[in-house]
Amino acid sequence: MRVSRNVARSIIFLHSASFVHKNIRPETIITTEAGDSYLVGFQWFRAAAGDTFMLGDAVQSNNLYRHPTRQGQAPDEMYSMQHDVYSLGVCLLEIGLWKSFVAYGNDSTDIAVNVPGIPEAAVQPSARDRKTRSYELKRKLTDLARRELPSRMGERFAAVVVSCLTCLDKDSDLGSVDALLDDDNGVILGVKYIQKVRRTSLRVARCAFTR
Amino acid sequence: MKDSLKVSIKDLEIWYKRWDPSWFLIARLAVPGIDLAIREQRATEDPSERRSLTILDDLRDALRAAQNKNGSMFEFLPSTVILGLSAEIKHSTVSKAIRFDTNEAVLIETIPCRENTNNSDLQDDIQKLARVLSTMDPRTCNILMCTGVQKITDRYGQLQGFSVLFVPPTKEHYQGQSDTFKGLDALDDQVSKLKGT
Repeated sequence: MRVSRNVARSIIFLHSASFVHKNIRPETIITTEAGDSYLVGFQWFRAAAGDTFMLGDAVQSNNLYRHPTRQGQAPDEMYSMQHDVYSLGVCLLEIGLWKSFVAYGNDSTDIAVNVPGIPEAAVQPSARDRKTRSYELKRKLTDLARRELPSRMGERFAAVVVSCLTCLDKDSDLGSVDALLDDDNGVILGVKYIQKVRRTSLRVARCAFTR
Repeated sequence: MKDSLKVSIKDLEIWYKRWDPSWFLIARLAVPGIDLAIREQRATEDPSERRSLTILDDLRDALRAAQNKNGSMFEFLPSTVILGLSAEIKHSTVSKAIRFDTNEAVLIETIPCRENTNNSDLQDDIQKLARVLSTMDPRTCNILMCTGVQKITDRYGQLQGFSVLFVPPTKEHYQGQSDTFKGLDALDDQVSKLKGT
């Protein structure tokens, strides 16, 4: 639970400072024996208001942590803070299940993806059906969180993970977090925000700030 | 019946207080009165509450650092600063190294220049990020403290990327010698030897 809070907190801080990370996955989180975790891996970061690159890669173990709209070499959507939140959701799912979705071999290129109950082919879609399969993977990860996490980590943790994984859905709780954090003074937008969304919308922030 | 209703209302109030997102928005307002309120509250609350308020305080510091358009730019380390003895941390994007001008153990991350993008934009972003990360407390923001950035150039002087230097987690954080930080002690030994020479 401590690792989860640490990771969520690091992302809240980074977003509050108006940056997007764009590379959140287990390799960019270093954890000490004492259980403290720190976010690294700034290779793709940029200022939140900066130009988006619309670049990606086809690396299976990287795409697993990316939202369907940001997978592959030519992503469909401009990167937003919610894309980081989605990646956080996949990491939290891993932590909650206490199982690494990526298996490492002897050398750096020997990497396999192994998500419980999800065939490897679903994680490595062919170019032709990439879009369909990547959304299918997202649905399966969300189902996995709903099915397995409540009994292992509690309802609240499961709800946080599901909120992260569905944060870019049209009816999402977290839909306007980007605009919220981009607002310089936050008052007007904040009032609108509270009026508009349900009270559970900042579960991630609560997770990060609770000790 | 009346008593149980009272209990239910109290529970509801507690629940509402816990889940009300307005505290997060208020925390982001650039109003000095909020800093004063946080300071006063920190003086009176119990230790667990104080911890949450410390995090809020640091969040406000991060916001101020990010929004400070008049602040000085983060200076790049000169190329004369030699970074060496690099060793990879397995399954991570950072490496262990020594900064020879100060003989300090650091963690290094390489940010390469990106194809088809403007290097000056990347340079600006890195300076802004370094400025923010150099002021934040890693114990509350869970991002390592940045202690310097150096440009990486090829032999023709063309910019290839940036080395970002971080202060490693303090000793007490990794007592017990986890695999992740095994070797930092060896680096410390190297530093001691270098200091002795």
